[in-house]
Amino acid sequence: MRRGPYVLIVILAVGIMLIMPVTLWARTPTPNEVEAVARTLYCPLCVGERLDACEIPLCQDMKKEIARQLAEGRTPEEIRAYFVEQYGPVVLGEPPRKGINWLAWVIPVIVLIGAAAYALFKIKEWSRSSPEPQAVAVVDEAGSAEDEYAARVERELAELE
Amino acid sequence: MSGRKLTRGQIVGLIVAVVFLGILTAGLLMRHQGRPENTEAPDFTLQLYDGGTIHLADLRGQVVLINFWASWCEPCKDEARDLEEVWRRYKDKGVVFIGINWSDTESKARAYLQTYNITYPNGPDLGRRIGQKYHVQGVPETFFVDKKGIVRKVVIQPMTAGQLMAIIEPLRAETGE
Repeated sequence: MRRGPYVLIVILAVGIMLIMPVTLWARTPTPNEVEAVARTLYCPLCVGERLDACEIPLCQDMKKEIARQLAEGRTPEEIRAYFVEQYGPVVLGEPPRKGINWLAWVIPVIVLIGAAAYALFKIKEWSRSSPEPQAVAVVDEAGSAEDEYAARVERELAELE
Repeated sequence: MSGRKLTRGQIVGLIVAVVFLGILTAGLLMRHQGRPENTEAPDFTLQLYDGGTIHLADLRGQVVLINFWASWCEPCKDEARDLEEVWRRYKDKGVVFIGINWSDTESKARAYLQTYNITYPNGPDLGRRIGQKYHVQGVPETFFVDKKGIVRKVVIQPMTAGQLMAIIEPLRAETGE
C-alpha cells in the first residue's frame, strides 16, 4: 500500500490548519489598533468630541470602517485621509474654514502680531526713557570732586605763601 | 467734562477690540443666513453610488426634490418607502429625485438603499460640501426646487407620500418660463 499521497494530504491539512488562524489573526486589527486611529479623529456631528469617546451610531460605524480598512492593510494616514475626503477637515478637529469659524484661524495670528508689535513698542519706549549710564555720572562726580579738591589745595597753598 | 487723553496703547487696544467685534458680528450674520428658500438652488455635482454623476444645473425645466439622509437616521427610515413610492409615480412626469447621503459610511448607505429598495439617484456628500451649501443641520432635510431652479420649499422632518405629492403637484403644474 502506497502511503505517500496520504502523508502529503495530512501534512498539507496540518499546515493549512496551522497557517490559517495566524493569517486570520494577523488581518484582524485589535481593538487597541482601532482605538489608536479613532483617538486621532473627531466625530463630524458632535462639537469637539473625539471619535474614540463618541458613542452615537455614526461614530460606531466610523470605528467599524477603521477596523475594516486596517484589516485591508491601510495605514492610519490613509484612513485619516479617507475620512477627511468623506466628512471634511472637521474630523481632524480643525474648525471648518468657513463663516464665523475663520475666527479660530485669524484670531491667533492677530493676537501674535499685536503682541509682537506691543512688545517692540514697549522695548523702544524703555530704551528711550532709560537714565544716563551710572558710570558717566560717577566719572563726572569724581571729576568735579577732584577739581574742587585741587582748587582747595591751590587756595591753601596760596594762603601759606 | 474734561476729556482724558488716551495713551497709544489704549488706542491700539480699542482698534483691536472694534475689529474683533466686527469680525464676530459678520460671522454671526453669515451663520444665520440659513437654508436657501425662494432663492436659486445652490448648484452641485453628485457622484452617484451606481457610478454616474448628476449635475443640478442640467435639470432646469424639471421639478427637483433633493433629500439629505443618513443610514443612522431613524426618521429617514420612516420616509424612505414614501419617497420611493412617490418617485416611481412621478419619474416619467418631469420630476427628478436626488438622494444625498450626509455624514454616513458608504457600506451602511449602500445597505440602506438596498433595504428600502431605493431606485432614484443617490450619492454621498463627500466632504459635506453640498450640505454646507444648503446649510444642512441634520437629516432628513428635503428641498423642493422648481422648474426655474428656485428652492420653493424646505422641509426638515420626515414626510409622507401625501405631503410629498401636495408640494410636488403645484410645482409640476407651473410653467418653467
